[in-house]
Amino acid sequence: MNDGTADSVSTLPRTGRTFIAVSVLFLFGVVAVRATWLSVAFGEAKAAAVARQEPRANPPTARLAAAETRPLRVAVPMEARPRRGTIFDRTGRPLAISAWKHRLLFNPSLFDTGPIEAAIAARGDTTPTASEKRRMERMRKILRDIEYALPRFLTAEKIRFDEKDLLARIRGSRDPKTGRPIKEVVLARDVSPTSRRRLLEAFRLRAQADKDLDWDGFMFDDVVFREYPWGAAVAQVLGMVAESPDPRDGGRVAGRSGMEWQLDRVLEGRPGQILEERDGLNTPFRDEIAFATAPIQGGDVTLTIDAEIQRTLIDEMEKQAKEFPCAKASTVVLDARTGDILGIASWPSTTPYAKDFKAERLQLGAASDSYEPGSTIKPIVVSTALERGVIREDERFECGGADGTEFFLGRKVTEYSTNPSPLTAQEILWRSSNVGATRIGLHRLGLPGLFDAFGRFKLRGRPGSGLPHETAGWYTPQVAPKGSGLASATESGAGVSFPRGYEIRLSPLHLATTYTVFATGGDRVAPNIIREIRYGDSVIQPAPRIDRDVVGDSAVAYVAEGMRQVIENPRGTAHRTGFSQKYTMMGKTGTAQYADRDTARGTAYNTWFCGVAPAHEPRIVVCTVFHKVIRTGKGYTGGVISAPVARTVVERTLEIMGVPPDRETPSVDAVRAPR
Amino acid sequence: MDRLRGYLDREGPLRPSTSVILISAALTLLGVVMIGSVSTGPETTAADPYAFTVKQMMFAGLGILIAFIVSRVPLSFVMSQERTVTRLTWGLLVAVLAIGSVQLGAKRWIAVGPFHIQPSEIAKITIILITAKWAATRADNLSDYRRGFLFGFLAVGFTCLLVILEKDMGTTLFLFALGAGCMWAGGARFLHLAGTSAAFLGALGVVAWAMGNFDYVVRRLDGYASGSGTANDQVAAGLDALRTGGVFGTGLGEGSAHLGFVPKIHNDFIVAAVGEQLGLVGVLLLVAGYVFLFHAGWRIAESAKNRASYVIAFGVSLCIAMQAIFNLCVATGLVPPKGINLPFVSYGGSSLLVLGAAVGLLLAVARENDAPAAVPAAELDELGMADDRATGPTSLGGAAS
Repeated sequence: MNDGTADSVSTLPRTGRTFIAVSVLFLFGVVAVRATWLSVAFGEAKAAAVARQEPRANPPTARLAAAETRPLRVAVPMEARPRRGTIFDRTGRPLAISAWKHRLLFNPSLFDTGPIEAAIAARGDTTPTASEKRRMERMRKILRDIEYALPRFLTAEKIRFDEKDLLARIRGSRDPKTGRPIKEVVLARDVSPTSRRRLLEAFRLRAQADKDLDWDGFMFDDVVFREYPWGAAVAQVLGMVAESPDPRDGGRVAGRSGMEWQLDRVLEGRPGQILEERDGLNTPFRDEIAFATAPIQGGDVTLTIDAEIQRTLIDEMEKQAKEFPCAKASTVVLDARTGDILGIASWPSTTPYAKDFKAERLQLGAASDSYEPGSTIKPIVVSTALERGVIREDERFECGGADGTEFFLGRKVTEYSTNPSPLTAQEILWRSSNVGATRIGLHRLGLPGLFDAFGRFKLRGRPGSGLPHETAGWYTPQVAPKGSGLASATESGAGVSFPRGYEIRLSPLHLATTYTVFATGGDRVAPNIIREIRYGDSVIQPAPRIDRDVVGDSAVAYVAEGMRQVIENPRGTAHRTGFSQKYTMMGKTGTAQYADRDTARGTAYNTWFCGVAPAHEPRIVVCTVFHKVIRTGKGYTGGVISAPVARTVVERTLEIMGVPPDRETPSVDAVRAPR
Repeated sequence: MDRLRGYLDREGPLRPSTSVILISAALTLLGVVMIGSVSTGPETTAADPYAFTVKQMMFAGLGILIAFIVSRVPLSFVMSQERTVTRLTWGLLVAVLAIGSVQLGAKRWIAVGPFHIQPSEIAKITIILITAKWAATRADNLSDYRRGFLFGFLAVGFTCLLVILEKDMGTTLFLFALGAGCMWAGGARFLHLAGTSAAFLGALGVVAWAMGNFDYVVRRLDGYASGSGTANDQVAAGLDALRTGGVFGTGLGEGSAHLGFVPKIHNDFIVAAVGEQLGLVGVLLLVAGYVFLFHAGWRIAESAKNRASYVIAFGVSLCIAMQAIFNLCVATGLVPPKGINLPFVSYGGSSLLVLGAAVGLLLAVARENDAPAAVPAAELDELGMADDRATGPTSLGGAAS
């Protein structure tokens, strides 16, 4: 084909063109190998790493910084958090409501010039390169602008913030202790969706006005805010929610105390799974959200408490506590027929999320604290003695005589007020005779009889209301467990202590439950805090749990009359303070000496009143106790301190329940007082 | 007569010219499809998302027209116009410095109505024509440094000097490499080429330094080494796209790279889109396409009837291959980022028109190769076809020398 002339291709040296051709083919081969490596070998490991990443809407700069690890358009299985259920009171008033709000977060490490300065220092230079200088200047410019403008934006949106604190957070790019960069600080909480939208628009306009003012590093996250409209009145029953410290919960907001904790799984619902796709800018395709599994919304819970009654309890206890110095007070109101807890509270209480919030005050002492019940135990002793036939209704007992004291098993028992004449069991109750009660308990019932009484009234074990952290009732055991270090009842002489309510510990809730026996004519009604739970398609309504005939009718009637005299009889221990002009009431006062390491016996008291109202057709049981009342000249007994609270609570509760006043002639004189 | 018929009947699907047509058409079609599939990103407007695709199709049509016209023009005519083309290119390269429009921070385009012409793209063809002319006219003195080698080298060097004045270091080096490759293939001695190239590159470096062009290059190389900077973010995002694509890709129009993630994905980083959407299979097919195209060009060059045709065919093949290799190397993170597009596939009007002309030249060489050889006059006389003598192939180099 070629002719061999100077212009002929065949005369060209082949070395150059062959070398070039081989080089070209070799380079194409290198590209092919590299593409294969990227797509197959490295790609799979990378995709797995990407898939493992926690999806988060990163700001552009952070995204660029994480260029090697950011997620591409991947379907991210995200947890679909259901709405947390609402808690209502028995009348349907919302007590705990969930609302979504936003937090404004900021990443100060994006404006940390430290690494650049370190890089300059590392290469032994003192002057930065033009690029480094520009980057640092840009960071400082944006930071200055944020410091200037952000407080104004927040003020315009009426978002609360502390300017000094805000500026410190913006500037704090490194942890002063560890030196690690701080990537997330909360600048403002409680940002409404509208404010969030307007702030984002403000940031955008800032960048639009000056492209160097791209406010990087701002993020909003969604936080569920739990609101408690009734504040301190119901705080101890409801408890509160907070971010769970359990790493398995992934920082979710969970109930941390009270019913929020107890019913957390119900209120929380069941999270579903969202399949969310994100684009290269890590922005979710909102219109492509699909549920892999739909969430089950949190259950709505209706409690048996009444918010108004709760408020009454707190107010009354506070009023009384101011007059009679004490450490704590608790009151329980039960529906005598169903066991529903209409009100339960302890003073002092606290308001969740308030500035003066004190976590320790969230403890519901009415259910979780136990005290020696003092004389409030006497109706149990007397009723059991009658039931067992060891005493007769008309039998009279010597009660210390004019001296007012008597020794039992070598221990001195003293009367609060002397009883020169022998008393019937009924009189022993309304006069609260310690000697009389001890005589019945120790001599007639004996320890086996007393233990039988405590067993019948279920003084050991928990009341089982559904409230969390209920304390169990306790009394000195018949036989002390080996190695426990405890004395048995025989050794400790509990036969002398029990009838006066010592060596026994009961919570106010427990004692109130016990008194349902006297309100129902002999049946013990277990307490209950949950009225209804609606979860998914199911509705749960706990039925009353009643132990029938704990004590017979006649014994109950006899004791009830004795308890009625406590209020009605002018010489009854709670007549002056517990007599209501509207409702008849029966009850028993109790004043137990309190002693601990720092408190000498006889200086502080636990003062009780446990009552049932109305007396003739009981609807409610009220039990109130003031703990560690300091003995003052104004009085220190259950009749003086606790009975007035119980009276007011009874009146208010029965009014709320719509029970008409049963006292026809609201006069003390109308009641014929037995001698 | 049989011999003449044998020349006329020489055809088949595997002819190099057919391969060139099929592969370049397939690559162009792939480019249009890929540009269409990435036309949802922020660089397109919501009102007219397919503006890039439509423009690319329009330029592809024009490119095909140019390829057809050039392939029909006798190479002798093309070579006779080499000086005109060279002067025109040099004129445009000077003009761009004065009246060029700034795009993406560089002054490399001349606006003509709604279009932008990039003279440095035309310079690629010019370099090939300069070296082809040099190989043909200096065929007798190629081994002579002063009378042979230097003549061609200076023309190439001057063109490169004009391009570096645009502060386009990458294209300058590309054009120089193309010119040097063509000269080596065209018969230049290696020692001449290596020595003079070293000296010339040194001089180019001085010019670049004097113009302050080096800072930018050093910054970019620094950025590449440290993995920082905007350009590297683009590369990193491109690599992510390739990883995401895996073996079979996410499917056409799927993936996220085009959603503002990889800037200029329709242009220099179209491979990222191919890799993400069509996977490794797509990328390997793309690479295979260029390999076969280079091979077809090589075969055309090897069959050339004279040195000018040879250098043209070789130069065009080398130009396309080098451009493809460089683009693929950038997209796969093997070399620092540089704005060189992927031939036929990337979006770009100037590029498609110049490629059309290049393919036209390749086809012209092939056509010349396939044309019947000059039949001896005695034979024609014997056949009664003496008048056909005029239609025989023209000896290009010979005519010029």
